[in-house]
Amino acid sequence: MILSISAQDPYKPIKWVIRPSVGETFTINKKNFGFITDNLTTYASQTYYWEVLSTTLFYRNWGIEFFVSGNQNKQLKNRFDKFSNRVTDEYSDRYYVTVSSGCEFSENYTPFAGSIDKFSLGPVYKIEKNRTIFLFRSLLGITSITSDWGSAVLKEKGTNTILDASWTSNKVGKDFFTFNPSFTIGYRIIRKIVLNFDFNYWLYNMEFSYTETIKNRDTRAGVSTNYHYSRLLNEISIGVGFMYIIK
Amino acid sequence: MKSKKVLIIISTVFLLRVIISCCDCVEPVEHKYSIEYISVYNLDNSGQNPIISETNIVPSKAYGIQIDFSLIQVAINQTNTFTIFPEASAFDCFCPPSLQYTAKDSIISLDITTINSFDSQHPSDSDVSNLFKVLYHNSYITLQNYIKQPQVVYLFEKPEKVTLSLFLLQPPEILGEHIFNIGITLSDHRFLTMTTNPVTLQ
Repeated sequence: MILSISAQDPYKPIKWVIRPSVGETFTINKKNFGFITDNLTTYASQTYYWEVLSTTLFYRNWGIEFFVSGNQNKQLKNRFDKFSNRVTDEYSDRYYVTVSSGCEFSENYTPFAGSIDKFSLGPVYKIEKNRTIFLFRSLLGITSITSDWGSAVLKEKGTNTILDASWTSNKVGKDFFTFNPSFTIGYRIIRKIVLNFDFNYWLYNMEFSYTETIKNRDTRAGVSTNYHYSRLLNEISIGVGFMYIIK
Repeated sequence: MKSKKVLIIISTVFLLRVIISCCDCVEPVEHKYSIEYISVYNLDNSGQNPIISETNIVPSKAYGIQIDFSLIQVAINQTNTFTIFPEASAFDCFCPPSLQYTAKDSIISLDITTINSFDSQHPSDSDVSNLFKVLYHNSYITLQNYIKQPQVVYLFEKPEKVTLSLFLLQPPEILGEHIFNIGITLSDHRFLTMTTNPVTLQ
């Protein structure tokens, strides 16, 4: 049926496209875990994204797609200040607090540098009807966030006691295996260009941990606490872009 | 033909010189410094950073002693080595600094004696060195371990004085006025000593 419709179309069936787009990603689950280390990661509940590297090859109506998208949020700009304030709030009653963190050096915010990266690859099914194009995908990929270290020197008020606090994650780059079904509807405005709207769903299990260690500089006695980040995350992206038909 | 050969030889020598000069470092001039005298001060570490106490009244848990070592330059060692092209040298390729100040003497012992009775185990005129520690590379270490650390080599410029802060990590049972005597023995058998101003530990 579909083939017969395609055969009547004035346009040749699409064989190869590139598909840049921009949009917004929303996390359905709540963002914060409430841990002191929350701002050491680049996990954000709402981000804008851009897909520059995105291409699909078709054989008849089936195809394979690969894309990379960068995700960013202005809230991620002042992660060091937020982390520093949180640590100071926690300990400043008894201690003079001096905070440092990897995000102090890596937070040079640029709107086109992704704090969260997504890579997806998988099969696509296409329906072309006159100028209208429908794409159904079932992709698998990676969602990647960054986590930074943090540390603080806690000098006790009125004494010679100094504590060293540190927060380290079990791995720096966190890649989460992601299931990414998505749908695109496009309208061919000219022969080579298709305007399209994208709807993506992302499902991945975020799983990592931070270890807080507080050590006395004199006795070297220490206390450790584990902050476990574990959540099945659901995200939705809505975007707009265009397809450039190469073939 | 002959002129070509000469040109090749000259070019080869020049190129070799360019390559060699990259790692032809200036021989460093080594100065020696020595500790001339010491000054001691009572430290109040109750704030974020230790400060010299002007009142000499300090919380017992935040007491420290600052020792200032006045340094003096005593000798210069310079090693001259033969080079074919002594005038040419480069300052990259990880060359050592051209000026270095190394210690002539080392500290053999650093002792603190309490003039007043400190607690039941430390009567007057007893050694309390083990109650003080030095903050070294983000750790409190004992005075014994501190003097075992390698001597500092200063590059390019020698400071007039260097400061060492000793922190009392076991406050006394007996509060009130205390005086401490600092005694330092150097490897050249000199003995430097100085007594703190009376300090009220409260």
